Amino acid sequence: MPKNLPKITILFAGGASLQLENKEIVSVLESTDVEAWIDEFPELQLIADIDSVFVFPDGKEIATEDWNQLSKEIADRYNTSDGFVVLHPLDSMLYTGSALSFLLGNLAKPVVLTGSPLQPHMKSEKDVEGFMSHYRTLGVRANLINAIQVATMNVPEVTILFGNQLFRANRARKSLSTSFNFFDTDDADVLGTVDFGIKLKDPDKKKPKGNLKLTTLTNPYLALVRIHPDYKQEEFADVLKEKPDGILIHTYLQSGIKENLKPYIQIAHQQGIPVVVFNPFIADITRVKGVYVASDISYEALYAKFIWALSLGKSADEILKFLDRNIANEFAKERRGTQ
Amino acid sequence: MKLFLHFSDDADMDLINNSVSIFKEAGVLVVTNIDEVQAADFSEKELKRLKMTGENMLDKMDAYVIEASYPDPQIGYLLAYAMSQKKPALYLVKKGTKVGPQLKRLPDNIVIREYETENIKEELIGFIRNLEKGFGESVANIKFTLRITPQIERYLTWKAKRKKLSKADFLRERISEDIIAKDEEYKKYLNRK
Repeated sequence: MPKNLPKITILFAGGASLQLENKEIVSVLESTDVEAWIDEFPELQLIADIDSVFVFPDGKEIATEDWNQLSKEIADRYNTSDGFVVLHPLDSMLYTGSALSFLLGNLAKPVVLTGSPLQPHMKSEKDVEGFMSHYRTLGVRANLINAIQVATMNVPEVTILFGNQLFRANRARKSLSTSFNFFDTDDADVLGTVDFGIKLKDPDKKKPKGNLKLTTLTNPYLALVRIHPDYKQEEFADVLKEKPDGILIHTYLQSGIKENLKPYIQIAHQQGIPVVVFNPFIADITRVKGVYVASDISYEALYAKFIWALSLGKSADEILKFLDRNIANEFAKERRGTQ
Repeated sequence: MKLFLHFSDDADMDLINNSVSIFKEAGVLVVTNIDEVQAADFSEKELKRLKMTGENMLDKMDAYVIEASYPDPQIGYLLAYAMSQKKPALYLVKKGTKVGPQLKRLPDNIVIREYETENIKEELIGFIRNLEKGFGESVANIKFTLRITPQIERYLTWKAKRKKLSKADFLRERISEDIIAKDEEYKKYLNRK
């Protein structure tokens, strides 16, 4: 056992609901709950010198403005901690994980998100009946130990640890299969596996040099448009009236944009509003001036990146250029090259 | 019984091979971090299933043996995992190795033992015996599927009800008291080890 254990900070940002041996479910709802919760995990002291910070209560619905607070808590402790574990609700983990990968620029230390499949409204054995048999050993206890161990290793990026896999956070997606693993990703973005210990694919990954570069979001208004067969141009006109800072269009169309919307897109361009069209399945969408077409990135990562890019205080054209640039390995491997 | 043996990169190969042989001779299935695939008792199908379900292979082991004479960041993790999942673990260090203060308050399922090359067999076999005894209390934690005929099922249901036991408890009792306790050949086998 090494004499000096690495210092790891656990940030409580929801997702800490834990089933005790007596089957009672305990959650972290305020800062005073943290100490008792940590006391349930004496084994963590064998892996790291643990510091803990209460950020949000379990059950909080995480929103964009919360990303600023979370990234600031990490930045404030960046020079005194060797790694960070964020306990976070599973449902919004892909958004927060993606956002942190853009907000924490030049990151040279591990930031590992994990969480409990249990919800704070679950109080007793009856509430979780059938639920934990579905997730079996994937409760927060095993996830936390695995995440803490990853946070002591050479993983200089934002990741998600759930079950037996370590994912690049901005490349992860909700698993569509009937398996118990909550998340999934392309093979290239599985950074490690948990079997008889944690095995990293690239244990010698090069760390970036220099200081952490924290971006603060300015809470821009990003209008979201979902195109469906009956979508009317008037609906888009209404979106423009709201004067958004950016428009993100999620389309099913191979051509990307409906013909009848093109004049309105032109208006958006004239008004300096950056427009992004997202279709995850088709890369060859008809290009329109003032529109960035995204297909080789997840929706959650694109959303977080768009909010981040809008906060940089740049012109619409510059924002679209930023969105096209690989910032935190958020694009599919074929697109980002060898990184 | 399935054991996971962990050795640091600096561990002596003879010690590793010797330990694996001792366990195998004792009829224990062994997986090591040195050569997992070769020693593992997992089929490709089982490995694929585990990957899909998100389970940790450590959960499939009955106990861990950790050789901890050399610094290795995996050791703390394995101990922590053993603690959290309440898995029996043997923490082995060469005689004279300093044990860190974090290990002063370990739960009963983790045993720290010093060894010398000559007495390693004694320590390993002792650990298996303790496992079989359930570290002082009989803990039936190994899952085993047994298919039975309707006739046996009828009998078990009737007998277990009369004895006021579950069918599984009744069977466990019969195996311990009537089969193992009376098997002289098995007793001789244990004494030879």
